This record gives sequence, structure tokens and C-alpha cells, in this order.
Amino acid sequence: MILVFGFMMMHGCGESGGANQALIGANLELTGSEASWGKDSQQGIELARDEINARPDQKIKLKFIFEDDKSDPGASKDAMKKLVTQDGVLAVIGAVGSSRTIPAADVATDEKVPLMTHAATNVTIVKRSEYVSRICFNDDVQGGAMAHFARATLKADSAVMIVGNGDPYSEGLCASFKRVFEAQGGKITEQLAYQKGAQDFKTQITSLKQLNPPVVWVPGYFNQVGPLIRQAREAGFQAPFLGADGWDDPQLFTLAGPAIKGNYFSNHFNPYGTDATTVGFVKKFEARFGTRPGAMAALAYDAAYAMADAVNRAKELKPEAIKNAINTIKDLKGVCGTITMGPDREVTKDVLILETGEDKYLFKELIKAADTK
Amino acid sequence: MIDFFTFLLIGLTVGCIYALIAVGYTMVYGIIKLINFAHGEFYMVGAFVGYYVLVLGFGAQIGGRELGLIPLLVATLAAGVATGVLAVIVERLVYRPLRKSGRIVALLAALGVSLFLQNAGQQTVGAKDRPFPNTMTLQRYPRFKLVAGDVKAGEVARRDISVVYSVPLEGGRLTLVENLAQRGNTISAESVEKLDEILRNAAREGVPAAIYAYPAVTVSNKDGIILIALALITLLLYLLVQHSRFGRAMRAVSHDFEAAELMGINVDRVIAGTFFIGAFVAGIGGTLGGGMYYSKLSPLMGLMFGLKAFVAAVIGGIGSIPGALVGGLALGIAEALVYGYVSFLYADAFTFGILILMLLVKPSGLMGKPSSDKL
Repeated sequence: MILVFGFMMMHGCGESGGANQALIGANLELTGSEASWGKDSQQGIELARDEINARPDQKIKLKFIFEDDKSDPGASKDAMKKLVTQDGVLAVIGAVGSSRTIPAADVATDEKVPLMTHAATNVTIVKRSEYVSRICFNDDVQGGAMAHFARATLKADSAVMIVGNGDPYSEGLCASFKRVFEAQGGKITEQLAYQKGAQDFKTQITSLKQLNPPVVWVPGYFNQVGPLIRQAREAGFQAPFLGADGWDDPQLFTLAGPAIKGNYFSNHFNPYGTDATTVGFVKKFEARFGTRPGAMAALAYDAAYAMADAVNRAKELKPEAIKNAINTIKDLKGVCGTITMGPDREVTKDVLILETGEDKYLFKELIKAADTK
Repeated sequence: MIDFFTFLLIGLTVGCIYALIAVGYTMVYGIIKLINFAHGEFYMVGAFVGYYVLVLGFGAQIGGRELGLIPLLVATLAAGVATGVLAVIVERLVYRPLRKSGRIVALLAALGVSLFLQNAGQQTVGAKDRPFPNTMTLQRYPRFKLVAGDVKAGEVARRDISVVYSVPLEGGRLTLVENLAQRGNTISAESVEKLDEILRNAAREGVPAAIYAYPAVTVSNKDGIILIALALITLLLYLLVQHSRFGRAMRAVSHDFEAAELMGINVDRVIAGTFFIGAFVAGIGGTLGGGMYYSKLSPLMGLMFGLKAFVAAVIGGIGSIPGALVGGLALGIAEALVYGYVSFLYADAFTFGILILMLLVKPSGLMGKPSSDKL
């Protein structure tokens, strides 16, 4: 907060920041239950911003205003409104969680200001209007990839799903997993549920042990998946759990303990990857912030570069022109793969499958986008 | 039937945690007719005190060696005392000045204290969930010892099979449980290989390792600790209330506040003492329930548990200590059965449905005295 405030004091709150400056909003989970993702994203954006503004050929400097959506859908709507109407930003990056991005997308549509989400994967988000775009794969792709992985690699013929009740992220992923898993000859034997904030999963685990499935699909967030896996292993249930990018947080290891070993999830980025792009990014990030970046930081970093690309190509510094430039981004190389905006404002990327080791992720395989249907 | 007993046991343990919180609600109500809505926060504070005693006092690390029973006992008692002291301070600063201002004012003040403690918690320790230090590895009983030859690849396991072994860590050890097969699954060659490797390593390191088979219904050591804690506290409360000078004074104040004062009872001290005892028990519940049992701490953890315990106190008859115990256990078991046989999604609706039903049909609760004005 103090940082943001100081920033505004220094530069004043000018309309979109003047001729050689582009004012961009970031609507992120800076506090609340998913705060670690918002913080990660903010750091990714800050790293990219300073690199972009230091480029000699960057005529239009980027200035970011960070707003906190408190990990809450209602607060996300307020934060988005504030960015668009009071600060007068040209475009907004965010949010991380789908439940926060959906209300933000509605505001973007109403106010005709482009929203680029770097990490929200619910399918419906970009369908709202041409003002909403996404630079990561969506839940159809990642649910499909995990279903394909369960069938083809783990040879599971049936699965149980555990859905986070009332959470569009979890519900969307269960729908896409079920569709692809059944299309590839598998059978969903049961769908269990838990509520947001629940700490005790012993009853679901009792049902799991009774059903005895070869794999369990639990596309929730790390703060509930961690305790769930720990309690399941303590009760003697041993089949692998499968999840999606909501698992990606160091807290998964502390909340689950040794039980985390030997489960799988889909992700955008492997912070333990050994290719040159990943290693270079991780090094820069660690040097500046002292921690290893998660997928949210990497995606936010890419989003800031995508935004810079759009600003540089836009005919004028107006939301409408930025929107047109965002929707025509082509062959932009990032740390989480190449970004080419499709006509549906989605990108096509392969899905990384990671195995959870004792205290880090291990690369398992790369599922081609074509196999996720 | 197996399911039924499993759900019953889950409900019993959760019910014990509800009961530990409900006791404080009911004692405070019994004596000054105040629903202390900040009581759930005492449960939260207790969990955090226990956490910091283990981390700062015993050098606990996440994923580190297991600390054992003595540190847990120390942390639990420290949590009880610290929470009790906090409750006495809250009573002195907030409730005592408002005691003559009417019950609605005090009720609103209690809601204020609750919000204050939640937000103060978020400011000081942060909003993130955190696990509780490793006091002991969860072990299930009864269990039957097997020998290595009993686990054969390709056979169908008739019971859950695990190997329990320990690894030495700096300043102690860490017990690990590796699940090899689940009842009804075929034992894989991988599991047998893993078992052999663990046994070989254990023999080389000279650490204990044993293979166990578990029946379908088991009780864990953590369940046991919570059950024993509730039983002990029940006994102590009974002795305190029925057979001590302080207990007699408490009953007198509860019966007739002004008459007790006229008889020379130091009412302020009795009320402070009641707050201390109620919060002491909630603090113990926090460390054992929220900490050891659930291992998930956050400043908002007391909210739902406080509300559920309030429902438990109403079910049992608010103002009645045995009622709070019975109400807590009844609510825990009923909830677990709803989880198990209806749906997880209806459990909260069910709990608060019971509250409404109880207030409509029998507002004095299962064990409370009938009276004309409640709340």
C-alpha cells in the first residue's frame, strides 16, 4: 500500500500518464487466502516493468497501479472499478483466481477497458467480450490434459472427482476432466465435494477408501488440497491425487508434509526447470526478491511484456486501441511459452505435467494441446 | 456399518472440540447472561500460543523432528493460561464497564471484540494458513503386526497395510508411515520393492521399522488425546463447580447476582475467574483441536468453530455445563452423519437449522432450566 501510495505521490494522478507514459492497472490478490499468488504476480510484473522501461528503444514507459482484490469477488469488482474510473488506466492485468476475474471482466466489458488475465483459467472469462483476453491455457485444456494423462500415462480406467463447492475454477475443471476422461474410455465413479474454508476432509476420505479409485481428481487450491492429501495419507488411502495449477504454491509442501510425494498436477511453468529461459528468469527473480518464482510470477512477467508489446503497437494511447493491439499479439516469446492471440482471445500452449517430490516439483511430461480434446 | 462407526468416531472427536469451546460460552452466559461472541477467537488465540510455544520454546520446525507428548502438554497448558489471561483482560477492559449498560450493548461489544481479535491476528501473524508443528505422527489403532513375508505382490490385501519406521533427525527423530496397500487393492510389485528397501535401510541405520495391518475402523492417537483431554476437563470442572469454594460462589452468583453480592461474595472476582476458566478450556481446545488435530492455523479459524460451539451450547441448554458437553458431542456426531450419509454440502445448513429448530421448540435446550427470557 505504502509503495503504491508513494508512487502516486511522486508522479501525480495524471490522466493515463501523459504522452510517453502508459498507465496500466493490476488487480491482484494481495491479501486474503490466496495472497501468496497475488504477491508473486506483483513481483513478476515489477521485474518485467523495470526491464521494459530500461530498454533503450522503449519510448513509452509503463507505469503500474496495483490494487488489492482481497481474494474476494466483490472486492475485485470494486478494485477494478477504481482502476478504470478513478485512476483512468488504459488496460488492466489480473486477477489470478477465476472467481475474482469474472467480476473484473464484467467491469472491463461495461467500461470498455481491456482486461488481460495472466492466470485465471475458467473457460467463460474471455467469452464475456472482446475486451477480455488470456495469456495462459484455460480449464478445458488443463482438465483435458490431466484426463489424458490419467488415461494414457497412469492407465486409470476410473476416477473419483472432488469439487470445491461453488468455486467456478474447480467446477470448470471437473467438467472438462469428466468430458475428456469419458471420451477416452474412462469412467467417473463418483463426485464428492468440499466447502471453501473446510479443514476436515475425513468424511470425504472415508468415502474415497470405500470407492477405492485408481486416481482422484481434485482441482482445488493448495490451501485446501494440502491438508486433504495429508489426511488421506494418514488414513491409509494411497492412490495418487491429480490437480491443476491451483496447487502451485510452496505452502503445498508445508501443509501436506511428506504426504505430498507422488501426486501430479498441470502447470504453466516449472520453477525447477533446466532450460535456459527458465534458469535465466529464475536467476533474475531470485536475485531481486530472494525467493524462487512460482507459475503466477512467471505468467505475470509474461503478461507485462505482452502489455508492453500491445502499448508499443497501439495506434494511440486509448483503451480501444490497446484492446485491438492486445487481440493481435503474435509470436511473443515468454518464459511460459509463446503468446499468439487467437480469434477467441485465447492462446494455444502445451500443458506441463509436474510430479510433486518431497520438497520440489519434478518434470513428468508435456501434453500437446491437441491431446487435450 | 463400517462407515457408520467411522463417521461416529470422526463426529466424536470433532464433538469434543465443540464441547471444549461450548463450555466457556455456557459458563459466561450462566453467570452474567452474556453471549460472548469473542469466545471463538479465544480458541484461535489458544492455537497460536501453542504454535509459538512449540516454535520458539522447543525449536520446532515445519517437517522437522517430532516433539512428543511433553512439549505438546506444555504448549497446551501455556495456551490455556495465556488465553485465560487474555479473557480476564478483555472482561476487565470491555465487559465490566458495560455490565450495567444492558445486555444488547454487551452483546454488541462482544461482536466488536471478536472482529478486533480477528483483524489484530491478521495484522500481526498474517492471513496465511500455517501448519502446526509436528508433535507426533498420526498412528492408527488397533493394528496387527505382520512380517515381511506376509506382503506378497499380486495378492489382494484384506486390510490396509502400512510400514511404520523412523528416521533420525537432528535432536530427535521423525516417524514416517508409508502406505503399501489399501484394503481390496492388489498389492503391487512396487509396494513390495518399496517395503524391502525401507526394511533394508532401517536395518542398516539401526532404527525401528514394523509392518502393520489395520482393520476397517480405527482410532488414532490424536483422537485419543482429545478424548482424554475432554474427559479430564469434565472431571476437573465437576470438582471445581460442585466441590470448591469458588464453585459455590459461582453458583451463587449465577443463581442471584445481587443477593450473592449482599452475602459478601466478591462478584467481580468470580466473574473474572469464570472468564478465565472458560477461555482456559477454549485455549486448550485451540492447541489440541485447531493445532494438533487439524494442523491448520489462521486468524479466522475461530469464526466457524465459535458459531458451531454456540449452537452446541444452545442445544445442550445455555447456562448448563453438562449441557455444553452433551450438546458439543451431539452436534459433532450429527454433523458427521450428515456428511457421511446425506452430503457434505448440507452439514452447515443442518447445524444452523438445528439452532433455529431448537430455539423454536425447546429454547431451554436439552439440559437447561426453562426460563422466560433467553437472549
